[in-house]
Amino acid sequence: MNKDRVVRLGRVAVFWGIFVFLLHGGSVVAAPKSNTVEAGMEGRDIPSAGVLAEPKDSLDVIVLGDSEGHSAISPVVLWKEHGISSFVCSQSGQRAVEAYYMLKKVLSVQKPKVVILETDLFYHSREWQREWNLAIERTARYYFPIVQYHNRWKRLTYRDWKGGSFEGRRDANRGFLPSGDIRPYKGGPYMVKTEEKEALKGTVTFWTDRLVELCRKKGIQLLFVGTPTPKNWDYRRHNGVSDYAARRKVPFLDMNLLEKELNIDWERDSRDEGDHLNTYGAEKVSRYLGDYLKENYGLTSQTGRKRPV
Amino acid sequence: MPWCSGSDKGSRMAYHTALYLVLFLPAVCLLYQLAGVRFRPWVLLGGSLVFYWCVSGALVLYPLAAVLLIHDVGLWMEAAGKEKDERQRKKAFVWGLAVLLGILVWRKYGSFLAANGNRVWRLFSLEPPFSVVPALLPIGISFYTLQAVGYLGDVWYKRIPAERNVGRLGLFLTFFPCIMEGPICRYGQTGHVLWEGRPITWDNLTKGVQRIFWGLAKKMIVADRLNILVQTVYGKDESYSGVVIGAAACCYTIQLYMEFSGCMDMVAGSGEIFGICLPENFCQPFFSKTVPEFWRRWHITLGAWFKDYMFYPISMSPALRGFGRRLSGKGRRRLARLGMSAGALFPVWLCNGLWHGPRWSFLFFGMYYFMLILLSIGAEPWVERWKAKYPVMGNHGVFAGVQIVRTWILVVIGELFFRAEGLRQGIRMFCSMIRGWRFSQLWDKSLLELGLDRMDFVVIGVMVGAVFLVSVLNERGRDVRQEIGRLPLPLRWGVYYGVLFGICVFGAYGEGYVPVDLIYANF
Amino acid sequence: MEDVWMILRQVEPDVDDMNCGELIDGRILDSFSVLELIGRLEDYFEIRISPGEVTAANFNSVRSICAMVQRLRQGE
Repeated sequence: MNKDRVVRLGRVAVFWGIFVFLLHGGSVVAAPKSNTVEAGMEGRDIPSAGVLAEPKDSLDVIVLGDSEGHSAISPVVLWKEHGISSFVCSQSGQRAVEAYYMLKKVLSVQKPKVVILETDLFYHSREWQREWNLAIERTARYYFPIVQYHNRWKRLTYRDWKGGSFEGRRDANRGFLPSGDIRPYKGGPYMVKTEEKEALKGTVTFWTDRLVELCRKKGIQLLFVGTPTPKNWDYRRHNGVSDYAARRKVPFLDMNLLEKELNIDWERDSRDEGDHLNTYGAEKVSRYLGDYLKENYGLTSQTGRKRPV
Repeated sequence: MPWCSGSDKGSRMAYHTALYLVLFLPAVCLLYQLAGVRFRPWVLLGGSLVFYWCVSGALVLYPLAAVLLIHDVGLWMEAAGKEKDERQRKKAFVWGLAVLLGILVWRKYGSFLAANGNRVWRLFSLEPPFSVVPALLPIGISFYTLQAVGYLGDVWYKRIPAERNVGRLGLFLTFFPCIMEGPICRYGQTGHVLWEGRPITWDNLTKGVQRIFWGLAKKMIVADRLNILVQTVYGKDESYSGVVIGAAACCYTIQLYMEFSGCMDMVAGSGEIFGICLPENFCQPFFSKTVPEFWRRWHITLGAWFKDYMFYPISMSPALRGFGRRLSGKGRRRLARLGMSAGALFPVWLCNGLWHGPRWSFLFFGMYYFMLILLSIGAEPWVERWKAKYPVMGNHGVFAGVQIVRTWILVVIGELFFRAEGLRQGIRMFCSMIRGWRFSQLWDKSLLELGLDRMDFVVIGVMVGAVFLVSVLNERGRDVRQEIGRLPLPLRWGVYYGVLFGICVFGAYGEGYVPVDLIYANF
Repeated sequence: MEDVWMILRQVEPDVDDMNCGELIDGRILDSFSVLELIGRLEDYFEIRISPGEVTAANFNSVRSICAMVQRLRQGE
């Protein structure tokens, strides 16, 4: 009776083992071989995928977060003014679960000293069932990219079948998406002090906790940064994240409170009426951020090192 | 502003979602198996209520109220029966029916009735008095209400004794595989089996999981893919005509069948894991030669419900019987048959149509089939005579083939109206299809401009072919899973991997696809 | 038993096996034949058949129909 069981379990294990192996093989074929639309990558993922094309272990700072990250933080400014090498691995509407897996992917080819998490994503959470479905799907995507790229079956090329490694196109902006549009924010002061807190949802903190743990385990310093965005931020959200950061012992730099220090001019610095910053705003933010990183994290200048752009 | 990719829109709990397949079902199976025989039914009941709450939230109070209602009414009827108090018994029964159906009508048809009531009022140039606010529908209300009414009917007709255990009735009404899209079960069949707490056996687990994946493949590979084409055409039907509309109706029929039968496979598979054999809802409907036969093979449990709880009681009512007898007496046997059929079938098809939802197009759908079935009954004697005269041709395969294709055409026309957003669109599309019909549209690539390309059609074709093969085997009474089980291991595993990879690679999910909600769950 | 068989054959002449146990399940009798059969049984045996009796169990074979008829006759 027991022997039967063992044989059965063994067979099941082998069946699913082979399936996993086949899924992995399928993922190797289906995953885009370059970070371009022609190679099959989704537009949303292209800027952040450039990080895989950077020379190994050459980045000191990685930025995670949603579109606030890639519109407010410019690695070019950080490099030019402070010699800090960085990359913005943001995605439009990135969720906490996506940030977590993005970091895991980046850590396979980079050893950053600091990871910056743009805090807008703390409040990207819809109905809990959608979030759970999403979390399962993103987890599956991380381990088996075929889940994301299976639709490429119609357009697979010889290059895909040959396999081989990822040959990304290097991005001159290192994940930053500049915009020269000026559409002023006219809403006035938005950070009105209050004791209220906007609560964080469990579906978000589950993943940010794991991100915090990952950084701790790898000896990476984590920093929460809130870039100025009147449309998406207020004091209640500041309190919510600040509370969380204190509990997890992660420093929180909320630039929404530093309008004066940053010299933000809402007539000139926003590309879409207070939702995102444009290049003028991004310059100010990046400069300040660079100073902050230099002071608090002792990142040495790397201007000496040769950096082909 | 956060922008979410298509796959972010994932649905709430439903049988084809990751939440159900990866989290909910395995969790319930684990808890079920670990609990002892006594607690297993409660695990199922608890799981079913959690499932319901995930989909409809606080509306879970509706099915719970229905459970308490039928529990009390059933016992009331039995008590009155013991005291031979027929009046009390009838009172209890009518009261139970009135509340159950009243709630269903109110929640489902309330705004429809109000809107149309307003129309009538406006005809008389009066101020419409009714407020038309569509109420949130508790999921599965159309299904569990029929099960509840069936239970009361069975107690009334003394087919089963009233149930004392509220838990049993609760599980019967809310069992999570059945709650969203049926099958509509009878208490005598599944009520007791659900409560037995049989352990999950290896065999049942494997068979159930296989069936679930097969159903998932049908939905993900074919149904959700065809949805693109159907959505394109129905979304802007004025831009299309002729063959394109016909193709859209055809594709919708296939989509509906693949999705509904696929869902039934997932549901039956889920039940099978727990050792519960749920009734089948499909029996290869597209092998039907006549429309009445189609309705005995499509959504079987709904048809059976209408037969047992509407058709027979109405046909055997004194009024209709008297009518039939009088006509029979005058020697007009056939007319009697036709008359009685019409008398009993009319309310059945009225309800069948409207059961799908509060729309005139659904009513039209019901009446369309009512006419066809009546025609079929009326034409029977002539068909019999013709068959007797030409037996060779009558029994020939080609004739059967013609009958089958004719049934397909009639069904597709019915589904054209079924899918339309209202009777007006249905009529418009039907006329446009007839007027603009040009066979050249079949090969002039106009079918490739509706969202699907050649490769998509190939994939659909292959999967439909596989389903056809399985259907043929089923029609011949062979157990497909057993047949596959008999194949040598590499072939067998090849089949399994084929289905699994089919879903992973060819499934219509992810980027570029919009998740498709279960169609019948909205009825 | 003979009478039931005779009535059955009046309604559905194609039935040739008296021991057939699949009259309903095998679709030998369709809904309308069942109704007609019920009408004739009621007239012949002077019984009242309620819709509750219309089940596959009762109508699948001549034997089960007989049993039902006898039960109803005794009940009255």
